[in-house]
Amino acid sequence: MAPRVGIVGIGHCRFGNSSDYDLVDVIAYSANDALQDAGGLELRKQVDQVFVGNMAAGMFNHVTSAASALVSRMDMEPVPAELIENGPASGASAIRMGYMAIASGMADVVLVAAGEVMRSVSGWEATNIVATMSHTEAEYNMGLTLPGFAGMFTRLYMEKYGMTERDLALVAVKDHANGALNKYSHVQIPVTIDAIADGESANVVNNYVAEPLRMYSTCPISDGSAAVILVNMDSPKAKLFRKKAIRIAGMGAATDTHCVHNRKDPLVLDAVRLSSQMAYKMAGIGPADISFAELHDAFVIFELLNSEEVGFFERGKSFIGVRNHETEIGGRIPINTSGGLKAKGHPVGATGVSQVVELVRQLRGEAEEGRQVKDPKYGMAVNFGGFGNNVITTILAKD
Amino acid sequence: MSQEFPEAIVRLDTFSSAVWYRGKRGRYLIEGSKCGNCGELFFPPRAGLLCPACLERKMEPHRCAEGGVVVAQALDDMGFPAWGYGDDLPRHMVVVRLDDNVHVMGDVVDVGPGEEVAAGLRVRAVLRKHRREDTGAWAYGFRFVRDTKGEKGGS
Repeated sequence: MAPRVGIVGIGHCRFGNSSDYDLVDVIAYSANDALQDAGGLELRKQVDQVFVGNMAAGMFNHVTSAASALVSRMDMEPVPAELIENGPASGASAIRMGYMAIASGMADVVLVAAGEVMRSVSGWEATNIVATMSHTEAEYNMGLTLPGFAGMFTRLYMEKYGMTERDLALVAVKDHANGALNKYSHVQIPVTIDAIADGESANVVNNYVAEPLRMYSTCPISDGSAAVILVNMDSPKAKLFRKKAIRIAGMGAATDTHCVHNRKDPLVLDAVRLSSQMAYKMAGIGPADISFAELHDAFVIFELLNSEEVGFFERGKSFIGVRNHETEIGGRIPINTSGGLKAKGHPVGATGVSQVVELVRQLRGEAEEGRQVKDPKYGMAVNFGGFGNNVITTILAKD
Repeated sequence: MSQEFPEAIVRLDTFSSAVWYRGKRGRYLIEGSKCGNCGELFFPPRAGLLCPACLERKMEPHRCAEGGVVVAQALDDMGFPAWGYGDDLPRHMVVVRLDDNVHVMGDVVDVGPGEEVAAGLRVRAVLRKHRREDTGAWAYGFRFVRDTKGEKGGS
């Protein structure tokens, strides 16, 4: 019987532009916050293992081995520390490694910190660096960037299911309404459907990035970090922490073909479905039990596709649910209560941990007024690495 | 160097003409792989790898068909063009199902004003310039043009 693993501390910085700061300092900021939240900085000496999530500091910041730097910066030697890289799912992967370390019995307290400073390079270079996760020969060298991919997905979905560009804008409006209330989000200004879809100047405000994908269908390029402290809830060390642990009820991970064009149907994200099924099975629940979810919406089409794959909506019906306000706070299944990647920002390596921090805040009842989900029991996070080809699903439970 | 060439010049040192040259058969000829045991086709090539369909290791080079049909399309018009394609916007990025049922990623060029690129369009591959390296050398590779009646061959 594997031990129960819970989250006892969370830390998060405001996403946005941190390019004046050192990457390791940005990660240490959230890691310190997580320790403070758990009960105090002296608890850092109780940590048995550190995992750092980061995607491409080598290219963005000319920094490698960020994990070794972090423990030294935080005065945590001689604790073991490793860097986990799994594209934009580096954060969720680091949490998964933390879970494994505790489940295997090698550690009782694990600090998982993740961060990315992307605005140290131009937006053009950042897009190029992120695009290096596609297939070098068949995708990257053809001059394809990730918005280009997402534009194709969006077009296919629109043609197959009759979704309109206005439906995409509705998702963005919902995300930005949540993000405006979140003290950690990059974009804290709400947008109206008039401004980005219906109004006269909508075509200018919300211009095409990769037609039919518009600017408000795309996440911003952000810097930021997030951290959580995992603890073996059955060990004596668990009593050192003052906050009640939020239990990791289920975790699932799955992969898919590297080349998007090698999939039988690009609109079917097998890895999302399989990883969520794995997480549901481990938690012993189903989609109907989930109170709210954080879905990886680097492009809003992913929020829709993910919400279908994890079982909240039938295939091709998710945008109807958005029209019916089902995914808003207070709706049937609130999605991206933090604002999602769309409004909160997407510092690639940090996103997975940031999603889990949001789950913990909601389950503790600590979210800001106006975006707190009423009495949540289970929260779910889906984190993408690569273009839907490496997906990690986490389900947290309030016991 | 950026004064000499009008297009966006690569600045990161992660890619070179040599890398492009090594992959030339794939990019000049759309050469993928064919499983010598079960006949499954692959692009990009899987030389030396197992066949995921029959688990045999008998990959042979296979030249894919040059004609095909667009199955997915997006008009890439963002402010951050893909590396080296600065002067080439907007670009019709597509997934093409070639006539031997292999899917490849690419773009459609020579699209005139008012001409539409959408799923179902017949295209054929031509050899074209892709981008310029920081050494000044041009990288060539396959791109797609509309396959309409009466059109002349590729450049």
